[in-house]
This record gives sequence, C-alpha cells and structure tokens, in this order.
Amino acid sequence: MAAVVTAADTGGDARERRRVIAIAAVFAALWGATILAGLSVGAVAVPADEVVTILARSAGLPVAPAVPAHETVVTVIRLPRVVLGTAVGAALALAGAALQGLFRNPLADPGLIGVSTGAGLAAATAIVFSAALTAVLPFLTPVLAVPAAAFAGGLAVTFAVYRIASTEGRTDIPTLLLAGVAVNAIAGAAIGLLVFVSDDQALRDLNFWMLGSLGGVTWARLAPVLAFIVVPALALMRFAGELDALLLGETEALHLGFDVERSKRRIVALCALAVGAAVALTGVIGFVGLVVPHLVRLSVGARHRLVLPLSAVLGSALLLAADLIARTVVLPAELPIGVVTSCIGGPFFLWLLIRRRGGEGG
Amino acid sequence: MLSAQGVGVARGGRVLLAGVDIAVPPGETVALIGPNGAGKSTLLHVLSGALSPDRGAVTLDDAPLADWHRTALARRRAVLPQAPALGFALTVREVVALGRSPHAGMSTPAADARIIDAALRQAGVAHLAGRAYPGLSGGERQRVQIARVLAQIVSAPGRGEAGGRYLLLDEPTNNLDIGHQQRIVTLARRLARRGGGVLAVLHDPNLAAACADRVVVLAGGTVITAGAPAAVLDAALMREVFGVRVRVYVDADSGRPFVRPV
Repeated sequence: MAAVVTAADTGGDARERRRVIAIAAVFAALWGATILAGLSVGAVAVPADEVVTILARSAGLPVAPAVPAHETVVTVIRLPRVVLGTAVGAALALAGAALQGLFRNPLADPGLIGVSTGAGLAAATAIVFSAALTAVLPFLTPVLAVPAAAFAGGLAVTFAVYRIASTEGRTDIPTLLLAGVAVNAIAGAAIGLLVFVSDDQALRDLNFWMLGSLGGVTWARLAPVLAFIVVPALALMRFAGELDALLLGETEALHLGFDVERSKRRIVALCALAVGAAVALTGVIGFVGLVVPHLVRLSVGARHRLVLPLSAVLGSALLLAADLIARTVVLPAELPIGVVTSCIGGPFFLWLLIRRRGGEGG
Repeated sequence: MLSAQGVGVARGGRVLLAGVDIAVPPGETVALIGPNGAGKSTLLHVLSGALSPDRGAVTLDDAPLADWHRTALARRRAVLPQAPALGFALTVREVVALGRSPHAGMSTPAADARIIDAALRQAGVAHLAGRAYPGLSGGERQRVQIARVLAQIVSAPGRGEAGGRYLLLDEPTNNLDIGHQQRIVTLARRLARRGGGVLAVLHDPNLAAACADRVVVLAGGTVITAGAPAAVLDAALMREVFGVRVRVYVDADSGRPFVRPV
C-alpha cells in the first residue's frame, strides 16, 4: 500500500512539474509575441520577419539590411518603448507579488505603500509649477524635473509610511497598510488641489501622467533610469524563501530562522525603488501589480519561487499588450495606458472576486 | 539543554513573568500548565527567542540564544504555533516543506523529500499532501503544522549537528480529537526518547499528568512548583492555582495521577 501511494505521489509530482513548465512556456511565448507585435505594429507596419532581421542586424549579425526607414522605426522609436514596457511591467508585477506576500493580503498593490501617490504628488507639483521651477533653476526642464521629482517623491512618501509603522526597530504590517491608505488619501487630496489651481496645459499633462503612458520614451531618457527599475525588481526574487515563510506569519518565519525585520525593510525598499523609477518614466499605471500575481497564483500556486519570476514575465507581456492597444485603437492619437489596464483589469478582478466567493460557497 | 534563568518580562507596566527558572533537558517531556493569563505563552515566546526577556537569560547548550545564528538555532528547535491561517493557498506538502528552509545548503532535494514524507506520515497527514491548506479543518491544520515542525528539526543524513533537538508546543492538542491528541503525545514522547527535549503548553492537567516527565506550574508570572506529575498534582495545588476543588485518583498501571472536579 505504502509503495503504491509513493508511486502515485511521484507521478503527481512529475505531472505537476510538467504543468508548471508548460505554463511558464505559455507566459514566455506571450511575452515574445507581445515584444514582436510591439516592434512590428504601428503607423508604419514592419513585417515580423523584417523585425527579426533588424534585431539580428543591431546585434551585429551580417544579415541583409532591411528598408532603412523601417530600421529607424524599429530601433529608435519602438525598441526603447518595448524595453520600457518590459521593465515596467515586470517591476510592477514583481513589486505587487512581493507586497501581497509581505502583507499577506491579496488586495495589496505597489501603490499601497505610498510610492505611486507620492510620486504622483511630486510629479504633479513639478508639472503645475513647471514655469516657476524653470525660472528659478533654468537647467531643470520639465522633461528632467518631472521624473526626478516623481522618483524622489515616491521614495520620500514610502519612507514616511514605513517610519510611521515602525517602533523600536519593528515594523507592524497592519499599521503599514493603514498608514499607506491614509497617506494615499492625503496625497490624493493634495493632487486634487493641484488640479484645481492648474491651467489647461498643466491639467492636460497632469491627466496624462496620472493615467500613465509609455509614449515619448527615447534611449536617452530610458538609459539612466533602466537600471533603477530592473536591478531592484530582480533583487526581489531573492526573497522567495522569506516570502513563503511569511505566509505562515511573522513569528513563524522568525522561528524558521529568517531575519524577518531585515527582510521587511529590504522588500519595501526594493519595491519603492523599482516602482518609483518606473512611475517616474511612465506615470501611474494601475492594476498590473494587483492582477498579474493573482493570475500567476491561479495557474501555478502560491510558492514565491515560481510566483515572482512568472509574475515578471506575465507582467511584461500584459503591459506590452496594453500598450499595443493604447497606441493603436484611436490612431493617430494615443490612449493613456492606465485607461487600458484599468478597463481590462477592473472587470477581471471583479470576476476573480465573484469566482472566489462562489468557490467558498460550494 | 534549553533553559531560562531568572527570566522577567514586563509590558506596559504589567509584569508578565518574574524570576522564572525553567529547564528542558534532552530526553524529557516537560508540560507547562497554569490558569489563563499565567504567562505560559509569554514564557514559550521567551524560550523560542521570539521575545527578548527584560531580565534573565535563555540559553541553549549554555550559549545565550542571542549568540546563536538564527538558522542554526532554527535547525535545533522548532515552535508549533496555534494552527495559523495562511496568506495564500499553499498545499499541505508545501507548508511542511517550509520546515526545511533552515537547512538550505545543508541538505539535498532528495533528502528533503524523504524527510517531508516521513513527517507527513508521522503526523498522520500523508493523505492530505496535495490538498490546499486553507481548505482544511482546524484539527487537520494543527497536524500539518506538527508535520512542519517535525521536518524542521531533522538533519539531512551525514549533515547532522551535535546536540539535542527541541520542540516547543503551544497548545498542541487544541482542536484535536482524543485519537489525534494521543498521537501527538506519542510523537512528543518518542522525540524525547531519542534525546530531544519537548516543552508543551497544555490546558488539560490530566493530559499533562499522563504524558509529561515533569510538570511546571505557572501562575501570576512565576513558577509555583515543578516536578514529577505524581509529586505536583494534588488537591491543594489545584485549589490554589485553578480555584477548583478536585479529587485526585491514581492510575493503577502507570502510577500517574488524574484529577476530577468535585
């Protein structure tokens, strides 16, 4: 009997592993497809095979040169946008997955620790007072001032939220959550006030920024920020073991030999860095960090060793897909990407809630 | 040996523990009993290292807990919580596998798998291995947590560290029917026979009397008395500590006492 059970378990294990690999392959394929589509679709259509040729050529391979105009469109205009989308999608989803694990709360998203609204408030201030700002500090053009302010504001507000929730070196997670909610409300009110006093142009810029966009990115703007998004986001993956143990509770994680306070500090700091840098370039993009980890958990379970990397891949794919929609449905104009992610993410999340309620009833 | 000397803890001006001495030697099962609010859970937290005492010291093999590396300590002692909820749906096997975290780098996946299987069997939850933890009953969760702490203090073959293993159990029999209570008691005693030390916070003085080598009675944050069950559990103590009048009977086979309110 025991032998039979063991054999069955092993069979189940192998099946489970094959299933996880298949799911990972699907996510990776989705990601590849959205990258290819992102490079090929647009006002100037570049066939997929030509995209591949152009990419191979920029990698230094001696392949037949494509139409020169297409090469510029792909490498100068679309590639930085696709790289940005990949980095930001991965960062938002990773931060969402890490914070949901840390808070043990499925409703946590990167915005909850105040980084998004902090960045939003600082960016809004920079936008509304851009004229005054440039008058005082001429080198601080809006192109530079808005992302710099957003990054600093996101970090500053997260730090404030974290300090409020910490006493004597210990951080109380429920207090952190509530402090985040309160600070978000205050920053939201301040942004509302700025909207009230801003002129038409500032209002337009502000609105666009609050709903997010991958548009207008160039290699020059992307290069200095990219490492700030990617490095902390990838570093979050090292906390898979801690996050798994934290699912049991803080005391239990401590008893398992984890330095819980240090992990909490580092996870929050890495999330703030990655999301702060992402928001600085793209504005506030909702729902990716909230929904993607749920989708991943639904397909492969809750182990963070799988949830974190797969969230990064799926987050990239979904953000690139959303960007594709945002820049093609109302050509020649562009929708803010936040409108697209919320349009898809909101109903999806409701469906998830209803489904879960049904599951519990049954 | 895991022991506390002169431990005192105060929170918000209230004294929770004062001058508590307690020792869990290898090979012994120690039951900690006392009325609600006596400080039993606080003492368990102090012994586990989760709570630093304001006075006194806690030592494992004569070294203060603070001097132990946190993962080395985790390989030597495990703590059974009161069936916690779970943030997200891990499977039973994944929960038990968390017990192997302090052995990262000191074990192999194959050795871990064997140890996890053994722990699942010992706690009687092997048939639940693939189930989602949040869907389990309170008693099933409790047994899964027992499997997890069992898996935590087993070293991989050839990588064993010297010294006894210690289990701290906070109300291990809560939510369990009499059969599973017995199973947990047997597991604890088996661990003790192999040179481990067990400290169990128990509500039921009769269970303590039936399973423990030594009973420590805590009330008002101090140790009232400690010793073999037959020497400790008498009518006077039960009236003084719990405020109940009892008659004490003695089991003819084991010589262990049991009490019944009158």
